[in-house]
Amino acid sequence: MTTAVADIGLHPFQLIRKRRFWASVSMAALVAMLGLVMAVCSSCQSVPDDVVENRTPDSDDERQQFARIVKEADELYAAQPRNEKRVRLSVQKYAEAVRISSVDHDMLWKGARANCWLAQYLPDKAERAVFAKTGISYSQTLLKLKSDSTEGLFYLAVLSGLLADADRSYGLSAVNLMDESLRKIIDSGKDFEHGGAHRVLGTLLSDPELPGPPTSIGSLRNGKKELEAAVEKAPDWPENHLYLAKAEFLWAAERNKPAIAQQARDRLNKYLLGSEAKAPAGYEFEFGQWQKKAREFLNANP
Amino acid sequence: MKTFSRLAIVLAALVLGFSIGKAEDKIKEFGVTVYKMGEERATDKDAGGSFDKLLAYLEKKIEGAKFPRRGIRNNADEAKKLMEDSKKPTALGIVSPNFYFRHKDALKLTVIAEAQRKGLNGEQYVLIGASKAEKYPEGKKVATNLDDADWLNKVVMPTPEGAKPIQWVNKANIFDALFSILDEEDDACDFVLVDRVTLEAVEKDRALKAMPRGLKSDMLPQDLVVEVDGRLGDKREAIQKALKGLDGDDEGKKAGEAIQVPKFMDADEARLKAAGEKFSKGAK
Repeated sequence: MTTAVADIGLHPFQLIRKRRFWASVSMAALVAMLGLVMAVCSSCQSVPDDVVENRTPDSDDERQQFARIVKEADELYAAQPRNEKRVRLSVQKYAEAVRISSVDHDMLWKGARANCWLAQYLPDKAERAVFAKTGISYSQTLLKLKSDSTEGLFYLAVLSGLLADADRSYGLSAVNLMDESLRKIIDSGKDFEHGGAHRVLGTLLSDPELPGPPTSIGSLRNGKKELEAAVEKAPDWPENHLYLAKAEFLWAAERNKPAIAQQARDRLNKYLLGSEAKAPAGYEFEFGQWQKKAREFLNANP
Repeated sequence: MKTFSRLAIVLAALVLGFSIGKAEDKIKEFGVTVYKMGEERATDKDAGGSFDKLLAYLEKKIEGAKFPRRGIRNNADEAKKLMEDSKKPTALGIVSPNFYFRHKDALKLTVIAEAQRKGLNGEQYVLIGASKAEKYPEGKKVATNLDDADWLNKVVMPTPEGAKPIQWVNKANIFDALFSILDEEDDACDFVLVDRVTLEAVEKDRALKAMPRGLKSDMLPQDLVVEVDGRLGDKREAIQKALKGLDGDDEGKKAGEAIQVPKFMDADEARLKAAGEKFSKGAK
């Protein structure tokens, strides 16, 4: 999952038709576009903690039916190019599956992922919020089964952010939940999505619109540290360098440190724009978007 | 018959118009202006919705009163302009104490309540640094999000007679200022001035909680609810009662939560007097 969705300037479904888009949706970029930037919330709501109804298959027939439906859902989701129609069908299949069994770890996180896709790319905010809530309920169910599930924590964080994007009244709660969930992944030492937890958290914390403590958790220093950790986890992943460079530009401007700005420029040139920079396998389109963003950063910081 | 009908309509219209006029007469407007020093997000854009919840709560509690928001500012001069605007008069203000002491005479401000941010009674600042500030840190660089040097030098950390004043460095993010010290950055300040609510957050932070706390300010007033030029009239007591009872029902609790002030109380007169005396010494 990697790509700067916000930077593209096309409707997501146009992108989907062009490339295998979802396979490389960037969580860091996602957070950057969420607008989780709330000093004080006007009508604060908590991210829901609902779980899906507890169901287990009663017979071999039901177990087989469950396996068949999940397989169909997985295939629909995986089919390329991914599109709204198929992902909607995939989400429906996961919903059918959950009515037979709600205790399957993989089905739950994949269901959360499919809902996450719709929560991110549908044009209608209200509909996005509905899918975000469904995905959150899958993640919460997963976390009831396995409280340290990396996938559960990751999707709970990302879906909370998407819910806040669709309905800003969830902003404060989402920021707290994202912070908590992503830190749990980080503390576990597990890696997911090329330093994804560090990258998402780092992008969130370094967002200049996010207030610092005690109002919220914004901290350019902490965000930069997390992005440095993402680079350490996955040093060849260009997106980690892209967002670290962004934080470095902010750092350089805030503290009047031109050498740090030069470091950011060198980083962008080396990992994204120079002759040696190349797209990770299967991420050519996304790499192009990162390059576009990198150029924007350079233009803004000549 | 036709004439009678017309007359009836005219009479009905008159009666109706009169009734509406009477209802409008009963509702009084009390404009509200907010000034919060050092709070980057104290703007209409960021905090307007939250304050509107408080104002809606007041309207519900106080019959015949409307509380239009005149503005929320983190800039004292702008807040003063709002309060001086005779076309859109302000009757009620929620202001930081430096603003009250500086403008109380010019704007005819009277304190009617004091905020308890996060439920804390009074504000107290502490200096945190790499080493413990045992005494007034003469000439040292101290980071703060407060932007009123008079308030800082006279009330918060009064400059001792003959001492070289602290060099105040304005920083929006107090945590990052503390981290600069911890990371031993070249341009880090020597100390950071930390308020009580931020201190609670510092104490929960793995890295920052070990930093030594040094010199503390006196216990100071928090944000003050003020009446402007006696404009609250016969609603003053009802407003005071509603504010002090903010945590008494769900709606009030939600309104308090949104602005991070779960309750208001009577202003602590002794604290107010002490701070006022310090501030007025050589006041500009």
